[in-house]
Amino acid sequence: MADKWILQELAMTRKTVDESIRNFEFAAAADSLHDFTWNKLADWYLEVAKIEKEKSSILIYILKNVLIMWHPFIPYVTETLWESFNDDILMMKQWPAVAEATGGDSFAVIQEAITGIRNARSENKIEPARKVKAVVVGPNADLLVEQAALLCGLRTGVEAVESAQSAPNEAAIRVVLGETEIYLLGAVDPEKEKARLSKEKENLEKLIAGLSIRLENQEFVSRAPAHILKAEQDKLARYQSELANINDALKA
Amino acid sequence: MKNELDKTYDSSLFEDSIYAKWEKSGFFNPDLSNLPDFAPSYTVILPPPNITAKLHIGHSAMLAIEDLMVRFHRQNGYRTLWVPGTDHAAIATQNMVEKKLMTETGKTRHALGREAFLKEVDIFVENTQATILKQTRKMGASLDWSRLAFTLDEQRQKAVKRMFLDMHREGVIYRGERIVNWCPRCQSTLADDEVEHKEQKAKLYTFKYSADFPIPISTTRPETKLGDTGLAVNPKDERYSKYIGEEIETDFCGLKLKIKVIGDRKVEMDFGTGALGVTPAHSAVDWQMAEAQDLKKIKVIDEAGKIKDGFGEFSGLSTLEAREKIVSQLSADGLMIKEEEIENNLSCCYRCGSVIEPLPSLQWFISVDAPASRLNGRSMKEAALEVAKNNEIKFLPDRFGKRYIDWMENLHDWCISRQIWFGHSIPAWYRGEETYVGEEAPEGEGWVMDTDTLDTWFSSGMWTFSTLGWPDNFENGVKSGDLARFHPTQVLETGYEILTLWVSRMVMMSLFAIGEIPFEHVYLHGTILDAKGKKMSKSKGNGVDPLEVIEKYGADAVRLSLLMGATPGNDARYSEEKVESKRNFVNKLWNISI
Repeated sequence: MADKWILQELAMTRKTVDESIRNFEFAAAADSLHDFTWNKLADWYLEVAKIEKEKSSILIYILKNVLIMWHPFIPYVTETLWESFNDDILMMKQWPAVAEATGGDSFAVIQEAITGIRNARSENKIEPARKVKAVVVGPNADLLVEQAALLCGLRTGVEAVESAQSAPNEAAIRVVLGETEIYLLGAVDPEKEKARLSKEKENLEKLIAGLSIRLENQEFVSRAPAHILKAEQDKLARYQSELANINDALKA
Repeated sequence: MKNELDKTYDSSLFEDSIYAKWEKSGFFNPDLSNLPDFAPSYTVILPPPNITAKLHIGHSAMLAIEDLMVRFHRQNGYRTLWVPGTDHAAIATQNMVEKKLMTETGKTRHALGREAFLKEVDIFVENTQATILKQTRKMGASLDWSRLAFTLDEQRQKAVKRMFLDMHREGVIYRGERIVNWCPRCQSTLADDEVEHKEQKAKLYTFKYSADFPIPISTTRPETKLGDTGLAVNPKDERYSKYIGEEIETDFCGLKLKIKVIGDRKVEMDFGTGALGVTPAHSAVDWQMAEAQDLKKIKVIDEAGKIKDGFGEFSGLSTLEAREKIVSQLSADGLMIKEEEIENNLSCCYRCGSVIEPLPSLQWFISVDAPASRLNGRSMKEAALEVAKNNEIKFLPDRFGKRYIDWMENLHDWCISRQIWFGHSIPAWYRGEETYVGEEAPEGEGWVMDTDTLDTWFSSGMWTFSTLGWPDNFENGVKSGDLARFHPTQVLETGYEILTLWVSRMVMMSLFAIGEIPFEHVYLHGTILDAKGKKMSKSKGNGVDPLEVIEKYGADAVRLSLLMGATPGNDARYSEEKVESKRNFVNKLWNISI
């Protein structure tokens, strides 16, 4: 799956760089290649490759393409690297044809999950050594369980992944990815989490009180334009549902 | 991995040998690539750097952008040619060598003589040229060195001479009078930027030409009034406006003058008397007024700074002697109204400090408005406008297309002769009043060759085709050889500051010489500023030597720092931190790969 994704990204980059150079947008071409090389290849794919193994042929394929495309920008280092594993001269190497690549989109789900977990950990100040368990609820649950090796391997501090029909009952950090939710178990100090939720509750109650007064004011209700009134009412409903969630969590 | 590589990339260990490998492969030269006949060509001509000084970081940016385009197309099956060269930069180089000569030996070029001076120039040129070419290679530029050209080498001299003769035959080149800055001591014309201005006290005299002349005038140079043919007043000036259009005959110090009163809004009503005696032959401003108002031009002062024959008792006197004599005569006749001391901006020779004498002299011009049969009866200006207006030549960014058109529409005839020694000679000979233009000196005794040289933009204006073998491979309107395969070129990539000086000239000259555009695209890069956004200059000491940063961070890091963030037409800032961060990226790529 990661292979499909990186090949798809490579094809897209190849297309962007080619078009940008032909349109004299040299900085955009370099930015696109830089983004692929650093953010996609180095930060993601090489990390995945360490876990999934046996990727040397695809890695060499990608590397060759990267060197070919970087050559017009940075000819010396690319030619030096090229000659370490090729007999021909990079300067004359034809750019590869753009192969339409698809099927890489689901890797984006894994990336989002991993990034989401990392962010949640840092926001909640979970010490890096603390291992957690991830319980996944929602449409992408099976996919994430299937790719548990990546989910655990890529600096998430997750040691196990399982799917569930509904939210677990114990204290958890919730990571929301669209309709799919990940609950990190074992991360939370129950006392601290309770304090955090209480504070959140207080906050929401204040907001709700303020909004309610406003919406009970007949003058405001009669004068405010319809769309503003609607927006305020929606906001109130959202606060109330969040408050209900927090109350549930506090009871649990 | 075939070879073991170190953990970090040390650019200095690889760059020179990699460049040697590329050169040895022969692939910089498109003739040696194994491309099928139908492969499209992709040609870029390097804007030739002036051989006045070594390259600066702005040149590096230009090389990085062009090499990127060239390498990309070479990799992708184009018959790719990038032609290297340098520019002799006539007047700029001559000035450099003159200054050098003055500081090193205290001699002027005149003391040394033409031949010996040009030898000094050759030595200077050889030195800087070698440095420039070395710097260019260091940047990794994949230029076809087998086609290296110099704007003043033998082949280009041949091309320039041929161009001059063709244009002269078509009536596009002509000889005519024009006012120049003349130094009577150096016996030479000076370019406008070679004239220095000194604040100093001078006397402003207010008088009437004669007792019956209705309007008094003020001047610091009464002796030039011998050549007055007009009197300029502001049309709004109620005192004088009624005289506009009148032609008044008068007697000035015993000599007859015919003065036409003209209206000119630029005349300041409260300076002096608000009326200016117009002396077309000895003031650049007055010359322009005379051109616009069709006034006669009478030359009073000769090249030695003396009053010419035909001015009675004043003839043969120096300008100062004549001034004194005129002043005392005016006072004696009761015509002098006022003598006052003022602060005056005096024009002096930057070399010897002598006072500049503006005077008319015969110069060679290119007429931009003359219809030419080889342009199907259009003028060069019309032809050059058409290709921009109908998008045959595209400008990047767009706005420069408009600037090109505006400039071209207001273009006047181009003075191409320069009174300097270093440059292309003019294939013209003179004998008395006779003028001969041709390939070789004419038969017969007494012919003297023109001692002037051509404006530097004349030869660089021909650069796209003079580097591709013109005129040898252009016969009866048919291109052959390099010219057929590589012209028109695809892109001209250059700085926006020479859009009018160079780009426009290239278009006109290519259309005239071979009837086609010189390039399809013009990509104009901005200026590289320092980290604080200031212009780099030698005097400020904020310039950057590309060789030093290449040594420290590698050519790739320098290239990448100049490429990322560069957009056409916009100035960009350079900082060493940027280069360092790109060096880190190059290292990252290295680590990924090994």
